[in-house]
Amino acid sequence: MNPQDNVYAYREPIWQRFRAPRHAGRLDGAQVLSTQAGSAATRSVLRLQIELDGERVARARFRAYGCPTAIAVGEWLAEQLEARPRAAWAAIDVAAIRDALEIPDDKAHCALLGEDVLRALQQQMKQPS
Amino acid sequence: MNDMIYLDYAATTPLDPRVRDAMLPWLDAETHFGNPASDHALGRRARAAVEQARAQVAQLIGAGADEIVWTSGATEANNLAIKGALEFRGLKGAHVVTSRVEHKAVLDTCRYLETQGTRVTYLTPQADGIVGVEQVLAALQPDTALVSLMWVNNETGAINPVEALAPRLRERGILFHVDAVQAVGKLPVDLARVPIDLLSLSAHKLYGPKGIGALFVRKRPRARLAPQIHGGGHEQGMRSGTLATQQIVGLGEACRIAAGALVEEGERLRGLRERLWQQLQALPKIHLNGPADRRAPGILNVSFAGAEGESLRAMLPQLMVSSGSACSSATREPSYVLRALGRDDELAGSSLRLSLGRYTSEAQIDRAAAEIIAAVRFLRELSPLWSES
Repeated sequence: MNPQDNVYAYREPIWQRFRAPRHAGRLDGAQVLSTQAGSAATRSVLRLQIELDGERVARARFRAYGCPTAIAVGEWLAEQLEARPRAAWAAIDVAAIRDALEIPDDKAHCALLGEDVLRALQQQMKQPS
Repeated sequence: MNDMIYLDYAATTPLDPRVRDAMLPWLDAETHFGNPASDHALGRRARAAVEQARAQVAQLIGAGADEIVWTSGATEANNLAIKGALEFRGLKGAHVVTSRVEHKAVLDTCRYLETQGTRVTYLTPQADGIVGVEQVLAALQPDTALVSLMWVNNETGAINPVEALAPRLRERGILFHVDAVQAVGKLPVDLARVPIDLLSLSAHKLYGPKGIGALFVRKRPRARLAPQIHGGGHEQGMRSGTLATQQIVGLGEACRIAAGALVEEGERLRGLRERLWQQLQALPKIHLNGPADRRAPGILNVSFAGAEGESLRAMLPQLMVSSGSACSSATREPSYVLRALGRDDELAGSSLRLSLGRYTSEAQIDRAAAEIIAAVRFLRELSPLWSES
């Protein structure tokens, strides 16, 4: 990736994940949980999926429709869900997402989208299957 | 920078090297710096160059040299035409007809006039972006003083039927101003045949320098204007200010060059544009913004459903194109032109305006198409909303 390609000066943590996401895609199967947040009307939709292996997250994948920041939030969340134990997910909120990705004020709604989709996922995991 | 592909000729054009060569002597500090208004050898030399350029501009649009008034660009020309005509006639109680898809230099001028007591009707174009003759005629009122309509829309390339409209307005005694920035040098413009009263043009859209334009002001019958810049009475009293000789010479030369290859260059650009459009057909669900036929040869405006506009633009760093999307969500305002054509925010936001010009090559078109196709496929594949069916 040519650094000069970042014409619109996205912050590096956003730009890297937007241009080369490693967790984009979809999961299928009985052990897969899926959640979605946002709406087409606001031009931001984030879909998050995890594949469980017992208590552990075996794989996390995302799909996103939106600006580069929204896409980067999806990628970052998928990374975190694979890396962090479930007990640590509660700490992932708007502030933490903004901090990690250096999201500026005018894109704060993308971090909110991330928190929304994660909370929805946590909610789903609480429900008996 | 070598990898960049410039497809934004409707925004501005590079200076043609021949234009640059014609301009450079007029920056010489010893022999060519005279004020064209001075009555001595240096002044007369500059004056002669200015008048030659005036004749070159007039020649390109079928006007008389004495009908060309130099301005700083098309924004000033539009201001002078609209405000000048209305002020001369009396601002209060007058009615103006224009369209919702004009350049901001016309729209904001009309909005200003509204604060001064002028009534303005803003026409919504048909779905293909064209404002029809009958539409304009139906909007006329007994006190309509002026109609201002662009010849070619800068975003869609739609060609308005100004040639058919002009005689209809003339027979009603209504002044007709045409913003022809995207038409001059690209389409045949013959004001000897078409009774337009006022016409704006700009040098930097036709491979001339930035900072110079002109307003055609018809002499017979005479279109009367109140000056908007007062001073030494230059330009027949219509636009004061010392003439920028080197800029004016550049505009003249740019017009001379454009006149020499108008039809051939139009055909070449149309061919390249169709090549680009055909290649983009590899993508399903794309929409042409603007008319299929009555369109300026160098402009292609396409909406890519399912590819969010800001991301699409960020994916195409090598491509110099205009996007229907704004970069900050705080000012996320999709193109008002595409919205006026009935596109929703999403499709307006996912549009690219590709505008081709003198230095566009087949190889550039092929690479641009490949990059756009790859970017749109990437974003669609990533989207949870996307479905090809």
